[in-house]
Amino acid sequence: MPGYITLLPLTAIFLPFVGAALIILTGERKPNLRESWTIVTSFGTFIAITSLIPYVLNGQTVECHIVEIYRGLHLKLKVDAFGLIFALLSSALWFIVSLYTIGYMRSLKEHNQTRFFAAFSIAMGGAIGVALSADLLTQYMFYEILTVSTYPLVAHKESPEARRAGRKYLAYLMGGAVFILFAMAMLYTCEGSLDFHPGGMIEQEGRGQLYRITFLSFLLGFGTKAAIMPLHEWLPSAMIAPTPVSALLHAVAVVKAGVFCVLRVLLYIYGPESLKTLELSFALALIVSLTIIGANVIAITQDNLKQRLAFSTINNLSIIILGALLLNPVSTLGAMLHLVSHGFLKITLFMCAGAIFVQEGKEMVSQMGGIGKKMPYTMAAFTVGALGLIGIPPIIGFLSKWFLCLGAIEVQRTGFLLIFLTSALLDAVYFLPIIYHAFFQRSVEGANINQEAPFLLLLPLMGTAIFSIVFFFFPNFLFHFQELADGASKSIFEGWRK
Amino acid sequence: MKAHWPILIVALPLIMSFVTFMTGICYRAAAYHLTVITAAFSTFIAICLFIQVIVEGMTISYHIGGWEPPWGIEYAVDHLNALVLLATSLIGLLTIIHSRKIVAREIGGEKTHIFYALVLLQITGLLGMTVTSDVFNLYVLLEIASFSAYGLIAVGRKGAEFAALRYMIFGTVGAGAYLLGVGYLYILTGSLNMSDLLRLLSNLYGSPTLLAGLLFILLGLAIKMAAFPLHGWLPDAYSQAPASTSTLLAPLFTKVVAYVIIRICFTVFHPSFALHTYPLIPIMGAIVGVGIIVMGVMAIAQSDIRRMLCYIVIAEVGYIILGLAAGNRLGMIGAILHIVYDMFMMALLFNAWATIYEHLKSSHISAWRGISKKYPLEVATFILGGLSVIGIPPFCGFFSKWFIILGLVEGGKWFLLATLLLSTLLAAVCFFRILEQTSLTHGSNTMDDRSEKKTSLSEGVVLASLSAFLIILGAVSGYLVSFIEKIPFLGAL
Repeated sequence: MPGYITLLPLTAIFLPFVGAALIILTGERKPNLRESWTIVTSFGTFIAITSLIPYVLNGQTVECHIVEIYRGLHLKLKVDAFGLIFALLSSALWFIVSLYTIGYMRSLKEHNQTRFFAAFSIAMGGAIGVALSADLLTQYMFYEILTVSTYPLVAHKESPEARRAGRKYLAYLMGGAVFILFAMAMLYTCEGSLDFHPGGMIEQEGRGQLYRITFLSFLLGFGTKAAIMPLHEWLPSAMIAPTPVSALLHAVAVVKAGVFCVLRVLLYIYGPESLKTLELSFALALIVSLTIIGANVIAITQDNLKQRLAFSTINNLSIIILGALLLNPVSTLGAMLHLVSHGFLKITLFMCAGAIFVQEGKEMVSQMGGIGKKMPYTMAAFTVGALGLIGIPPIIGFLSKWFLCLGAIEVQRTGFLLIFLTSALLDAVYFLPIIYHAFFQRSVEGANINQEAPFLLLLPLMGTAIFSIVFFFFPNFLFHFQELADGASKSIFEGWRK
Repeated sequence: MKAHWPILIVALPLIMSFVTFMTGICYRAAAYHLTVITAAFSTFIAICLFIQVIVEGMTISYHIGGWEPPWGIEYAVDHLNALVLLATSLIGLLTIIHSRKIVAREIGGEKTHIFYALVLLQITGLLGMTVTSDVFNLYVLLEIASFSAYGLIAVGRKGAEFAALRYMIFGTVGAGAYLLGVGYLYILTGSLNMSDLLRLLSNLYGSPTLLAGLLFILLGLAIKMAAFPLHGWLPDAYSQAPASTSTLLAPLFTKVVAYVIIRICFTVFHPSFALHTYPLIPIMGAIVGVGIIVMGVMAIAQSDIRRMLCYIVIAEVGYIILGLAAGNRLGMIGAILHIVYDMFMMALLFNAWATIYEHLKSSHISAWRGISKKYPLEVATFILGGLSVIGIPPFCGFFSKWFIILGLVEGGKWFLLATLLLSTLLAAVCFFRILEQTSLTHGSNTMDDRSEKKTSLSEGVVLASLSAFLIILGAVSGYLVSFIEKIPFLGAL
């Protein structure tokens, strides 16, 4: 492994921050130059992260110490398979969405675009930082950067309603952060370290109660971002943000960072063994099961498309956590794969919702009758996304759900298998009518053909839709998602050595 | 020359204060330059002393007039105060550079030289309190700092005289209590030198006189550092003062007194005396713990931003006491780190505030609505300082808070931990409210472009460098911690 490789994760994290600085310096005067910074930095980040794939596939871990704070406390980066999956997902989608964002913001002539793009870039830096952190302290740092930088994006509209959503967002996430801080301090005091270790790093014998409290505290913290009910309330409100924010941040980067952190705590701090002996996995599994069903039921009642998608996100996030909680390699593989598949599918759906809003000004599902005739490509992509989330082949969503169900069968938890299946059924209940009405209902205002969205909007959403089909046939295409997830789950369940 | 640095760092601003005053009578414009040169030189000495401590790894002791310590006054620079000296002098310098225009407007041409003379006296007092290791000399320097502070505050707007008077009454009571305590110690031992006291007191720890002495000292210092519930003077004094005064006093004064508390409680007495034998610090911690919540709520209730910052100052000083109350290494490291970091955070906040105040002529939160478009740098730096106070990494405020939290967890002080975490949230409310008002709200149209004033380059540079410091200090926390760990008394914890 050549020496410069250790600089790659650092580059990947710093590039977005550099990009944000350049965006601010360029300002409103030269919008084209400003937007090109976004594209350049997102592409650079993407390249830096993809070039790490071969090393990780070889079983190497790339580490990079930044600075030592105290004994056992470092700011350091480490690229392992699980982290790389999330980093790949975020950076790839960021690059794709950056085109869409530019098209969207310009079509709607949004105000304060400099602030928007700068905050967006910082948020991505935060998300990738979360993915590549080697310990909790570093992860917390990027987690907080992500939280703060997303706030101006949520309140971007600057209307009283948007400000209220922003306040709610902050109240939930800052409140959660305090619990994380507490839990980290407890963990460090007990273990003298905060490093992630596949299969867990805690020595819980004799400290069961203490670790249960710590776990609860972690859950209250990271659970807010992962939108586990009843801590989910901020997410639907945050949908007031511009659609690219909802698409990338509130379907991929931010909430996935929450789920990612939960999974890190479950599998790399506590580990399957301790979760079982502390009897935590089953309790949490019940909570997320309730979230899975509850969110989908609420989603059915939503008429606002973005709200409906938000509840679907809440549902899928909990599915990922449940997958990890089943504590076997197959379901963990499924969970990690679902992280990816939900990312690609949900971002497609959100981009479609945004394209519809830009072209037609429509946000409500009930207004979308016949829209498939006006915007055939957009709605085709939407169909792919929706079917994928339900879990219909040949779309990647099927693959991840398949592994999840296999895992549930393997540990003989029929109850949780039923949860997965019911959730898919409920997905169908609220997605299929949209597709049906879009294509088979006559439009109220008369069908004027060829209202398709501009190229900059269409290209990314078609791209992600095609990718989600390609990934079904070749799960290792380009990014080796399945191999990485496989490696990660193996390391967790076999690497239990301490 | 090098051997005389510990005294020079105090004597120089003292002498220059008179020089500035005298020169100012005939040539006023020189006052500012003399002050900056003096402050720069103090900073230079502080840097040299800091490096010297690192290189030699031991205490630099200086005997004034060549008198041996128990009889003469000793100045000493060790791992504990080298950092505080450096931070104090550096922030003094940056603040003086920053406030040039503000002083010129607020104080007016006739009195600027008097103002700058007082500023130098203030710096004399603060640096002296930090460097001295003689408890009576400390009293003298504390009063030099306090009296110049009364003067600096009293020149403010209407109401400042009253606030200064009130501060003076409070402050004098505090100083009196401190002196009384020193008197008790002197009666017991016949010595005023700190290391000598440590040696002589060690077999007197059962004595009630000694306890009374320490109690008086702590009471006096608590008033001076505005520890809850003795903080009453601070919000009025600092928010009625001229902007240029509050930018100088708010970051430094209370923190230096907090340092003095550490110095007295842990190097004049055995560390376990105030922690375990008589749990004075833990009791103080419990009271302050309640206080930081109250202060947080009070800060939220303010509509004047400077007043809000004043309450934040009190809460932040409270964190230092919480760190001490943890009673272990980690808490102590956090407390000392927080002294330094909080100086920088408050310096940034107050200086950014003063810049914006100069433009808007209002400190009311409603006047700040939507100003980020017009003053992006100023608002951004203010928010940056706020994020650091809240404890968002990678800004330095996080790291000191983190060590205090670790200390509290290790010491099992759950109540204090809860108050600290809650107060974090309260601070978040304060600063995100300002972020929302300044950046995410449309500005009112009453603020037209008639008062189109630009922030001068030097102001911008000061704000930018203070912001950079917040990040740099955060990044070098590890080195600072290993520096702080060399403090001898930490080994006894």
